[in-house]
Amino acid sequence: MGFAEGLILSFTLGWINSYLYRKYLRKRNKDWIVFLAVIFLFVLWTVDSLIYSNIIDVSWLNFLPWVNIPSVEGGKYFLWNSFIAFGIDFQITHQPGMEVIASFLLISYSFWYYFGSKLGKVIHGSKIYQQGHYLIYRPVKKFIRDREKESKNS
Amino acid sequence: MSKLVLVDGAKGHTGTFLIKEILETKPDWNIIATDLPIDKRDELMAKETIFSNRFKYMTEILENERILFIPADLTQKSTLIHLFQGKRYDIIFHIASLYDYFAELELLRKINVEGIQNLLEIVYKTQDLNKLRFISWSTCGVYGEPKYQKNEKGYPLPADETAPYEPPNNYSVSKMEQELVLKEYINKYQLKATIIRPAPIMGPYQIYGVFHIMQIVNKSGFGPGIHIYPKKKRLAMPLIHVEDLARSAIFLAENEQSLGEAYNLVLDPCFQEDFLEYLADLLNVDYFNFPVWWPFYKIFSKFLYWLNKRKNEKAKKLNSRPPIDLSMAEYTTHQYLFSNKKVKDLGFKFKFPDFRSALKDTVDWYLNNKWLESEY
Repeated sequence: MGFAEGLILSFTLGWINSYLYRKYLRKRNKDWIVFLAVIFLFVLWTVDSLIYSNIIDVSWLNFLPWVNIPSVEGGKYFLWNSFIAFGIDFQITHQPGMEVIASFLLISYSFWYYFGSKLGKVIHGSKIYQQGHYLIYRPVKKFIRDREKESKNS
Repeated sequence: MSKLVLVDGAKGHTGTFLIKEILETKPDWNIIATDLPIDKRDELMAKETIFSNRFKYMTEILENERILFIPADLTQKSTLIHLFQGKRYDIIFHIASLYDYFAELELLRKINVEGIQNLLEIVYKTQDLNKLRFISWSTCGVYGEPKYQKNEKGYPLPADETAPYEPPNNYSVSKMEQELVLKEYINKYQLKATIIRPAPIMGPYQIYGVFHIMQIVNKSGFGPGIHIYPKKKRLAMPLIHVEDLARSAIFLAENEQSLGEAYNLVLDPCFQEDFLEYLADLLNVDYFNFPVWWPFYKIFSKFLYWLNKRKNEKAKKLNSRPPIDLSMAEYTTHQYLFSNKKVKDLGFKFKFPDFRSALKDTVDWYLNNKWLESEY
């Protein structure tokens, strides 16, 4: 998992997690939104740190014909050029001093996660009974079904 | 002094509150209450189950011993005879009407216009017009969006009761025609009538109208904090609390100066953005400030209107109702700013003079009675 993918994944999972939280987890424990963030960010930071220090070896991706990860400091190369797995190679080589940028990018995962979860909250709502902006855009059929369900339950 | 009053539309939202107010403040008034037979009412008042059929008005109030309930249908003259046989009323509160933005004009005319015609015909034949006071419910909607006078800074001034008719939707058209029928009786037969034109009503038990806004804000989890610039383009939110509406009807019925007059019943002017911000605060949902230039807002609101129109059409195809009737969406595109000066000058004092007190009372009731969902 490279930096660019990490940013996208943080944002996307922030969104998905906020939906899962509203739909299933909030009724069990309201702190799940924090647990999810901690679990996800911990996993992502750990994986990236292990790749960075070559403990997780990503050179196995070289079996793909379009991938050419160098054997020396392959982890760092992969982190900067992670789209290589999809055939896009930015060919960014790790230079001294880029650790600072890498650290900022890693820290920014938490912000991207936060933005994603905020957007999820706006789109889907945050409390059990809320539906967010979806309430406005939902199809009429869904509204009719919801109304019938509500009337049956009452 | 003992009085006999007739309240039609007695099972509706305003009707029940008017009866409650009479019972509490007029111990010597006896009430004949009327409304449609239950099956017919359920069929016509589909709007009352727009969110759920668990929401009911406080019709239990009709079981009071000072009230005699006689079912009747304004569209069928024969059913009205029982209401007037051997009775001399002091006051008639004509509330009954079909207030439904989704209804066809034909049906609205049948109930709201033909209904008052039938009622007035029998009133003319059976009652003493020198003694009788007739209070008829109309709507601020009969003005549509009037041409507002402006102050020196270009801000619109609230329109008073002299604004011309320009009804923007079927319901308001039917109410305008209802007023014209009544005015004919005022001019021709010197009927001692007063027209009240309430703004959209809010308050406990209210199901249709302002309740939609509360449901949407509560269920969506956010208050749309659109702040329109320039500020003189900000849209007003005309409102009245149901208790003040009931109180003002009684006040006007007892006031000789109100004869033949029409009165706007509306709170002091408030703006949609202030209303939504306070509502979001009361419901404990997020509120985003989002300043928008007026031309962009118009485009955005027209898009929402179009979206709602599609939903209306779709709901009609499915033989059902949409969550928001199209005419309600007009509040996001039109300026409805009305003055309550005339009724205030007459001496009426609002119990809920500003939108904050009225809104807090309403929202607290909804939350306490679980009409608005909350986690607590």
